[in-house]
Amino acid sequence: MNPYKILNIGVGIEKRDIVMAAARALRERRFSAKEVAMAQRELLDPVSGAAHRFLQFVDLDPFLKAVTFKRPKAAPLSDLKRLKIFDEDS
Amino acid sequence: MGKKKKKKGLKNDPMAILEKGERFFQKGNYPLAKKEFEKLGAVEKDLLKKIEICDQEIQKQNARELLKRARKVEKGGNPQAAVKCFEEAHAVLGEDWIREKIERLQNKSLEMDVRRSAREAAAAGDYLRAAKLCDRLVSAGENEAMRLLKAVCLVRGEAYEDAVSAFRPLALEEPAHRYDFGFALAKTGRYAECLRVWDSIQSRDESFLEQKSQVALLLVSDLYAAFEKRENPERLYKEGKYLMDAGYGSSELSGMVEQSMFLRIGEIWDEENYEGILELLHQASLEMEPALLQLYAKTWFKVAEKTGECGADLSTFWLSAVYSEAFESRFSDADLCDGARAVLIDWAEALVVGGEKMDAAAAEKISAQWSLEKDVAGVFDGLRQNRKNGGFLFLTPRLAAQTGKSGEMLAIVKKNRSFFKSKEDYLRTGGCYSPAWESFYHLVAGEYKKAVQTLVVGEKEDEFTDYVKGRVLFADGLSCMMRGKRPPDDYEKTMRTFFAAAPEYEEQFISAALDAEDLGVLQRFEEVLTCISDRGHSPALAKALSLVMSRRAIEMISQNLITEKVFYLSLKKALEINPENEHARGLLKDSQSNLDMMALDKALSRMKMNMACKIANESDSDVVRKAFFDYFQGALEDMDRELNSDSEKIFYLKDFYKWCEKVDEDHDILYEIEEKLEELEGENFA
Repeated sequence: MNPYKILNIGVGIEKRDIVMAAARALRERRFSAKEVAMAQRELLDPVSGAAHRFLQFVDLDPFLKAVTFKRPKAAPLSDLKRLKIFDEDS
Repeated sequence: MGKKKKKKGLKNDPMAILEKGERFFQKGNYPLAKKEFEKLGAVEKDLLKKIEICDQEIQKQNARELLKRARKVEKGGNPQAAVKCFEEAHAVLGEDWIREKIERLQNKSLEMDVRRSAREAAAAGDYLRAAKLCDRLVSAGENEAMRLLKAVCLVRGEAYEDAVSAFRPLALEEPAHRYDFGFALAKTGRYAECLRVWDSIQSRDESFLEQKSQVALLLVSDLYAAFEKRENPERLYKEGKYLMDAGYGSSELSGMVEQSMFLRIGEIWDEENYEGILELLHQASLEMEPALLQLYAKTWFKVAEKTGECGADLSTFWLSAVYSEAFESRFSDADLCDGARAVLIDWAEALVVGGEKMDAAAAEKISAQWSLEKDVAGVFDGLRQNRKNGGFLFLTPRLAAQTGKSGEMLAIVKKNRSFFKSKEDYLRTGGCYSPAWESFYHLVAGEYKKAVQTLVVGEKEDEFTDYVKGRVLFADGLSCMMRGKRPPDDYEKTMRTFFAAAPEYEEQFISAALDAEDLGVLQRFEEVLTCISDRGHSPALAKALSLVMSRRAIEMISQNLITEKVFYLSLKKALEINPENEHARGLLKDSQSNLDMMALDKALSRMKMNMACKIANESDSDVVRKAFFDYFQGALEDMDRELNSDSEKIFYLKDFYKWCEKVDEDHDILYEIEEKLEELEGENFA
């Protein structure tokens, strides 16, 4: 169960917003009332909320480094001429 | 002459003519039949009808001749003339296949015309006109050759986008067509696709190879430009990966591919395509670092949650992830960190152990391994608190082995010998990272045979591998014995060494021996304990052997498998091994009593009274003495019934008195005998 998906919210949201999101989710009826209640409870609880923050999101920042490229010297596309070496075969 | 006349007469005879005409008609020779019928003149309706039939059939025959001629002309390469013949034949016969044939021939004829025109147009450099001509045929119906010709003309006419569309649905077998398709793709900026198409051309021609390199460089340039704009990570990854695999790699390209992969992972994480993430990670050979460890752990968690499987993979990564510094750095509050970790471990445990698609045996196995890993994680968490160890990345034994870091983990264990409460804890933790770790995993899962099969020979004086080996062989042998089977060869020798290193297992072995009840199991324990006791002295093992021997002896005698004598000797031997074996001592007393009884019975039945007295005197058993006197009590009663002569009775009574007095001078029976003697002697005297 991903309570963030059920409540349709992102990470770093305030408690007040969780409650509002739960009310909205109940109105939308995409999930059962039980699922919405459980999602709200899980996120409001500090311990399980912290566990969900770890589990439900991936932090890719450590992998994304600033990469600078030295563009290769490629001949322009207009220089690409059709070869006739295969014409005999056709 | 007469004959001739007769013939002439017959020839003009209407009946003969009719008959002849009918004959021709029946044989299907309609021209001659018609000729004969016409001689008769058109008078009768039937005859007119038959002449009409003849006309029709003659037309049909002519049409069939036309078909033959049409086929000949077609073969001769003149489809227009063939079409004319077929059309005439069709006018008469009206058969569908002729119409279809005419259509085919007309198409062929048109194709030839168009081809010729296209050739002429191409020769004149007007490829686009040629392509248009081809298109006329293509629109008229399916024609692979025309489609190809059109596509080729479009490439040559530099209408590359149209050429790509024309080529795409076609199966290209000729290298020339593949080259043209690739060329059109390159010219429309689809470099990766172009290179993939050209890869299927087995040409070593330098100009072609040079052109491929040129397109590859264009692709690299294009990818870099797209990466800078963060455009379509999926395409960047796939095309970059293709270039790397095709040998156009560079460190910059490799970096871009890796970055694109992570950008793509971010996208598909949101799409919940966790299997896709694993596939991407699998294709990349990345150094295991904390962030990657967490990514793997979370992805396997999600896969396990989604599929109800993959518990082993999840457990490989999960504990390492939640016991990492990267995890702890997320929390400013240590209690919250511990709480969140505990919750996350519980969630993972539910998936690892209780996977929906897992059978009970598999769940038990994984549960045992998970418990081992949890224990080890707890140990390393404790080690990490110690500053002298500095920061290190905890890896579960499986993950350490997969990433080649078992040695590093083992070094931490060795460095912290004093941290461990017992040698067993120390060896157990180290054993998980020893070369025999896999065998140890099988052992904790209860898979003893697999554990033995995966045992490896460690380096000399590798106490951890020796420990694992000892544990594995101990468990395997014990398992055999518990089933009444002989343990593997050299079990006793190995166990002696192992028990010295890990005394806990000697206790376990003794406990199992003392719990054994089955005769076969007791026998195995007795054999092994005898052998171990022979080789080295361990009081506890000797005591266990003594008790197992006496327990086995009583079990055997109760099943009449041994004689009283063998039983007695077994007990004596058990007592020799452990004189404090109260079980054996008690049984031995009973056994001696039984043996004395048997000897007494034998002596009395043979009337060997001296021997009987000796046995009764020497036996510690009251039962034996009672039996001795019971014998004489019975004899007294028998004597009253069976003897009539007083003198005879007096003789026997005196004899009885003598034997009984030898055993007990104050036994009640002596007073009874005296009384009887007095009675008999008084009577005689009177």
